[in-house]
Amino acid sequence: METKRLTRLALFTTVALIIFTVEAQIPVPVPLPGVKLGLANVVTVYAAFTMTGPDAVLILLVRILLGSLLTGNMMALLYSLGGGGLCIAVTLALAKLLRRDQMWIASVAGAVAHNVGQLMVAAAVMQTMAVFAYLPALLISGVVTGAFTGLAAQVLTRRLDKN
Amino acid sequence: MMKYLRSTRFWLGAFSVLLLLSAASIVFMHRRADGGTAVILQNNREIRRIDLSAVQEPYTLRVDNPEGGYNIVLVEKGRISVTEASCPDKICIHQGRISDSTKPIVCLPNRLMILIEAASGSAPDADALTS
Repeated sequence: METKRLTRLALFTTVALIIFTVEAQIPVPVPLPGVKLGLANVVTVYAAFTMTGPDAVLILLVRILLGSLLTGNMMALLYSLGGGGLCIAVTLALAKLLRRDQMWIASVAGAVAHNVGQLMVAAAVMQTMAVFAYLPALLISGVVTGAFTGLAAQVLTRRLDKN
Repeated sequence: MMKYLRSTRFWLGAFSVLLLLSAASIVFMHRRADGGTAVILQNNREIRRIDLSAVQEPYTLRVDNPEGGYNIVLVEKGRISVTEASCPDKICIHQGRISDSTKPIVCLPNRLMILIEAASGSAPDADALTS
């Protein structure tokens, strides 16, 4: 792995990890498990559009692993892996199709996929389909937060491209 | 197909439909969850079970405690409350009306508990997931 790529991966993983850790400290005003802003998704979307697929996956994977270690919530690791896996698959597929000014679309689809993935893990862990009662609320939250983080990623890309 | 997947308008439409469907199903689930079954327990034993959605006219019923005291329970469509109690603290009265399974009404002095069973298929308590 050449040095430039290594540095870039490390840098973006660190940024994502910092965002993730800081966000974990902010209380969510919605009393539903699984609902959050998902600011670290900004980095995921940016990586999906500007780097190779494997690199984007690496950044997400390392961030999820280190993130659950740092926040001390290993149970959340399972949910994050299920959600993150589905999210990155959808985001990468759309990144191949869409222009950079359509990033928010990939982000919304990714956020929705993330919430669906989380619920599937929850259903498997708790052995009940009843958790899918949360699906509508999580879908709405996914569309809103996904649009927000996607637009943030677009702004970020524009700024970074200038330099 | 690819052409559609590339157009912003297609995705705007898809996300709008998703939002509408989600909102509609939330409203639907809430309406169905309205008025589950109220269970009245005395000394941890079930003494009465009332289908709150089937209640037409509000009515009261008296629950006597074998050791003395009593409670008057008001049953209304979709909700239930305690309006009178023999105990001095009246905590059960102050708990007001309940209409969902989140918080049961409890009267410790008379060993009375009223809870509403969650309608099947509705969301489990938030605590089941929060870890």
